[in-house]
Amino acid sequence: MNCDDAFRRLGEYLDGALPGPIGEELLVHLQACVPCSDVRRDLEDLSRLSRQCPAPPLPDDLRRRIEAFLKAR
Amino acid sequence: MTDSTAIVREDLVRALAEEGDRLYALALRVTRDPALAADAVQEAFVAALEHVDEFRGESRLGTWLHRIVFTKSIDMLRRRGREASLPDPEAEPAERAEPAPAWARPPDEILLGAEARAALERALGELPPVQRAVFELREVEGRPTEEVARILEIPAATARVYLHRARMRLRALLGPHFRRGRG
Repeated sequence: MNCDDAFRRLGEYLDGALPGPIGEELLVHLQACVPCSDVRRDLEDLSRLSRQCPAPPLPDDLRRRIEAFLKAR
Repeated sequence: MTDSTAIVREDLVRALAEEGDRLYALALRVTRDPALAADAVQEAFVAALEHVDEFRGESRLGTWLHRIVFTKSIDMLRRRGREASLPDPEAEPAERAEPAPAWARPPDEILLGAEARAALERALGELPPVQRAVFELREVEGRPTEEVARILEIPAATARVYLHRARMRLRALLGPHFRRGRG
């Protein structure tokens, strides 16, 4: 597996969607290739940061308005 | 009011309680405007009640509502004349890994939490709306890619392409912030 292949497969790998043999090939490549390993680390960090960034909740007044609409008609 | 209509209303009220925050999060991520997001969610529930016969139970009610909220959010952007076209995933070349040097350390170790989140929010604004939606549903909420694809009514392979593009673009955009301290 070369760097282009590894780059294309990284997303599937992070999503746990990479079949066994190809996943193993990717892991071997990542262990030997610093740039690709860096990309993986950055994307894992990005995932972690993203999970710390939930949107604000549905505003209470909007929630009440929709609920009133659903119950009224 | 018929019994079936009453049941639908009860289901939608329950969905509002259980999924309301996530529906608003999707609308806000796509529109990046609290007023537009509020309108999108409200219009989605109106549409859901009016078109409930189109919900055949093939997916969860929450999935169906997310789909309507996404559609309404895109409609809102179009009405405001903001970019909202769905890009063809084959039309643009995939980004290469090389142009973005590696981050020095995990972003939340370099910037304080709030700063890191603000930087991510700004970077998300650089993505097309559909990539923001995929990123919100998959990366922030952790939904399976197949469910993300059902919500957005795109093939799962396309959802993966959008997610990959979003991740690599964000990595490049956030690089200037998170390469501080290298060396």
